[in-house]
Amino acid sequence: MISCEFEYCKPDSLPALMQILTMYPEATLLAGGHALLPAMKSREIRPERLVDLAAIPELRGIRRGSDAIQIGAMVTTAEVEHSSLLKEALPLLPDAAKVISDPLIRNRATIGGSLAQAEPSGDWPAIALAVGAIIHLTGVNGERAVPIDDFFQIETTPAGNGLAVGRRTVVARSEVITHVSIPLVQGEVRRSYLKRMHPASGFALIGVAVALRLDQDRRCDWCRIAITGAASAAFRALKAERCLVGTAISGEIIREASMLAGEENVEFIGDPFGSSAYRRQMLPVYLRRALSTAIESALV
Amino acid sequence: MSEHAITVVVNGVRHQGRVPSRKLLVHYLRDDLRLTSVHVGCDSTQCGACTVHVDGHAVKSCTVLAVQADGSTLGTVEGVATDGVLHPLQQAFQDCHALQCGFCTPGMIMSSLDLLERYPDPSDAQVRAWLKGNFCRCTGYQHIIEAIRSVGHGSGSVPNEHAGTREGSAQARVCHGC
Ligand SMILES: Cc1cc2nc3c(=O)[nH]c(=O)nc-3n(C[C@H](O)[C@H](O)[C@H](O)COP(=O)(O)OP(=O)(O)OC[C@H]3O[C@@H](n4cnc5c(N)ncnc54)[C@H](O)[C@@H]3O)c2cc1C
Ligand code: FES
Ligand code: FES
Repeated sequence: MISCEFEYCKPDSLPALMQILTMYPEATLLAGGHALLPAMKSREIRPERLVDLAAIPELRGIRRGSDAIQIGAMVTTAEVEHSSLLKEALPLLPDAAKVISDPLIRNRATIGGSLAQAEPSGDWPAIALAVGAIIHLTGVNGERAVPIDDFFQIETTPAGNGLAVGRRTVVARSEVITHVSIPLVQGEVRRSYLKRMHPASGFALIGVAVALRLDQDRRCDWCRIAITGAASAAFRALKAERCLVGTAISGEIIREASMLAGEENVEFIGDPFGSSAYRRQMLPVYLRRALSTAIESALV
Repeated sequence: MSEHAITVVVNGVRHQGRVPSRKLLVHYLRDDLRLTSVHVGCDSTQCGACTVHVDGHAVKSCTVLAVQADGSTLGTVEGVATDGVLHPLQQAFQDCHALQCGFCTPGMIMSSLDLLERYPDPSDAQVRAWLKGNFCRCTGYQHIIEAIRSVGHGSGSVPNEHAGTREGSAQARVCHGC
């Protein structure tokens, strides 16, 4: 399958990219191309101009600061998976990367592309929500930092095809994600990511990312829970979070919180791979398992 | 539509060419360079028959533009044997009967070379998880898994006649970032 015709260029710095975006605000950014190119080959989308981000050094690299980790937008899922820095500082990310699509796709797909794409069944959106990432954007009008809680836009009409390309985030035209920063939370934080994987595509039929902190008395004093695969965008299970915060963790409270997640006020999506009723039912099951995995070692 | 001059090193040989922006890497390798080991299977990023190396890592060349590969070092299975002597992994595929029709084989080899660079002695589970991106419609995978594991050093469930001869073959390869 061959895509429609398009112009292509590959700027070698962020200022050069901004110049191009000033001239051509309608240009489409190309990262790993593993969402864009399949959609272009099937002619679902027909961009006129691709701007390849691969040669911009400002978008690369994983760094550790004093209180946050920075991941460049063009860092691939495979780089996250094999990063020794992340394995030590935030092992949830390399662990989660292992269950995303397949290793060949992970060698191309980028963090920035996955977040900008905001696939309803994508994994990074939920993981970014659970770790409280901050998305750094640069546009022709300047820079801004958007907390992940304000980054996704839940659509009222679900996007049917898993690979449909559309705007599901606050990223504006002529704006690029430069990097993501993840605050390092003090204390004993436990995290896990659990997904029911579509056996062929690898996408999440339901995916649950949890991060919670326990104090000395094993009370949960901080918690973030995020769900993907259930609605048209990843979302936080706020009812479940409120149920857990301030309580001593027990099997009973985990069950109660998990049930509450199924009552979250979102429109559950359904497709031939899983009806909306199925996803609503699976959510508490997967949340219970994800929470138990995260705190298992804390309870013994 | 823009056209672009590209320079790539493929299997150690430098090539310069001009490509239209929409030309896929798989078509550049097959049609322009006549490297027909690179197969088009699904043409939709699923099957891995088109797997090649870009700067040392295995990717699906049906989902990369030729122009994106400009300046890269590429590898296809044509470049894996040395002076007519099969690479230990290729030999293992033959010895373990890891191919039938052979359509998936070039992609399988290129993909698992990347696996062996990252995990020189992969476990059964690691090989199985890795092959999620490469489909085989003939073998049922079992013999492919055996072949790959037999080149890892000191691996477990390998038929005896394959052990030893391939030990250490993957050791010389550099491990990127793990
Ligand atoms: C067969 C298959 C299976 C897959 N399985 C999974 C899976 O299991 N889980 C999963 O989460 N994903 C999966 N994916 C999706 C894959 O991970 C995508 O490649 C990824 O979501 C997009 O990243 P990319 O770097 O390829 O982006 P691209 O395809 O290059 O871009 C995607 C979109 O983001 C925009 N964009 C890219 N980078 C930036 C930036 N820095 N700033 C602003 N906008 C930007 C582009 O303009 C485009 O609109 C799968 C894909 C395929 C083909
Ligand atoms: S032809 Fe490229 S993945 Fe199937
Ligand atoms: S040997 Fe025929 S597809 Fe694998």
